[in-house]
Amino acid sequence: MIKLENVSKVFKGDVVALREANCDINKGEFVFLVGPSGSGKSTMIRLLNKQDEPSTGAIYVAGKHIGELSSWKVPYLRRNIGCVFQDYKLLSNKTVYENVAFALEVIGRPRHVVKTQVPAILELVGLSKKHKNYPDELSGGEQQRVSIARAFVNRPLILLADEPTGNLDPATSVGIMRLLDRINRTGTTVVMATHDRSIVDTMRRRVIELDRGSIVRDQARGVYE
Amino acid sequence: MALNGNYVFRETTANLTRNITLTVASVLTVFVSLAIVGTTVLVRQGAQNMTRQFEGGVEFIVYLDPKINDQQLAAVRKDLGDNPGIRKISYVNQEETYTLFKKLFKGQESILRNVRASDLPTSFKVEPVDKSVISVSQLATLYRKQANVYDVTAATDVIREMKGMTTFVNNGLTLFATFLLVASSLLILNTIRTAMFARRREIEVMKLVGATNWFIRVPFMLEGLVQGLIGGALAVGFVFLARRWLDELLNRSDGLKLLQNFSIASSDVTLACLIVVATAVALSVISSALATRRFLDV
Ligand SMILES: Nc1ncnc2c1ncn2[C@@H]1O[C@H](COP(=O)(O)OP(=O)(O)OP(=O)(O)O)[C@@H](O)[C@H]1O
Ligand SMILES: [Mg+2]
Repeated sequence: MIKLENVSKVFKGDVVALREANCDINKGEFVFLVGPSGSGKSTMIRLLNKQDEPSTGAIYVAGKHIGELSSWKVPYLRRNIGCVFQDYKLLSNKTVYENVAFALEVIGRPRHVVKTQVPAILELVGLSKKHKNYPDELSGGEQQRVSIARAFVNRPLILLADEPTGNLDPATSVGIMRLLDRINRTGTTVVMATHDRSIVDTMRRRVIELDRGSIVRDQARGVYE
Repeated sequence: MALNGNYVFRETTANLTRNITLTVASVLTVFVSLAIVGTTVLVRQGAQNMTRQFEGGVEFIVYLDPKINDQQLAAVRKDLGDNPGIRKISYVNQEETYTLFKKLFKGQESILRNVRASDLPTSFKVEPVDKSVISVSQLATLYRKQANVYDVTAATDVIREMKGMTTFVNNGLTLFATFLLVASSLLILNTIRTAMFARRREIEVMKLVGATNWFIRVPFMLEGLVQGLIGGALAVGFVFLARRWLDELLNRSDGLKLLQNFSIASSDVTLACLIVVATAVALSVISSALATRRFLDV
């Protein structure tokens, strides 16, 4: 599903964010990216949906070399990749329902699809009752669930999550992880960058550890350290 | 790409109203610059209409009394023909005069209704041997006093006046209009940039969930187009007013004055409006395309 071949990313000023990274992630896997701050986790995630270009190396997503994708095809690549962030990136002037519906509207989904899919996904994340609320009327955990609903409403093949529990307390984080686990069980490949030791240690999934841009460990059913 | 009409309409109107001060500024600038463009076209066409009769060496026109009879006409023709200072004359009969008249005043029903072919003076177009200003004005004065001659218009007066006017129109107004057009493009560009900046969070989300560049751009480009078109429509209104003013400004007491004077035909107004609208569209499409260009590189 995702394959990195000798991928490096060098930012200006010779900052090497990723160094000769190689890995192969299969369909339906759940992968934790761990490592100290600045080790290149976010950079790797940004490369996967072409928010950034690698300096060298090749990245394959769903069998396609995304470096060779012409720019008008990039949006179609992204429709297969849901994204969740530490800061949720919800639109404050839209309700919960509108935030999720927006993701379908802007890719041209017909209205009847929006009308059936959005309530279904809000049900899945447990926010049916709050669909008319605005983001600032929700707790952090609820906001993150809205953002997961938005990322998943189009049923992407891959879900990328960059520290989705970074701003949440442990109990709320567990709720979010249950949700991501559920999504993973539907066959969606999940790649999640995290600093949360207890989550990694309890889930016991594949762990890829980065250190100063290099992959230093790739372990099935791994732990944080 | 499926563009949802409802979505596009909602986004475009939201953008336009959110930024009302900037929107008004750019619409007004587009209006003023295009009003000048339109008026320039009108004046230029009018000047061209006026000088059109003096083509192919014709230096002055001897207008005859509309009530002239055939013998009197023959006498004037012989007099002009025998003058050694005159190289060539050509007679413009009533029918031809009326055709020219109808062409000049096409669409202006009140004028066309009030003036009949028989009200219009027939004329001789005269090409003198010596085309110097002194010689032409001497000949003009000579024939102005002749029996059965209604009036003489010399190309020297008219064309010199017109030349001055067209030069002013060409250089002055065109330069002025160009600056204003640049200003309006920049204002439209800036309005769209501001709208996009105000919505950068939305745009970021749209890109992440896989909206196409065109989907993101179209509402903003339409915003620019709407601004251009409103400004253009106001300018078209102004062109019609300007035509009215120019008409009123010129004394239209009789058929001769109508022919001699600066006149603007309806086809000239149409031309001016077409140029105004085309400029409005080109201006706004180019500025909005430039403003939203950064979306082409993801
Ligand atoms: N746009 C950029 N321009 C220049 N340098 C960058 C840019 N983005 C990231 N970097 C650098 O690349 C390195 C890796 O950054 P990255 O954000 O991937 O780290 P991270 O593992 O996600 O860290 P954290 O755990 O703190 O989120 C850092 O040294 C960072 O300063
Ligand atoms: Mg990071």
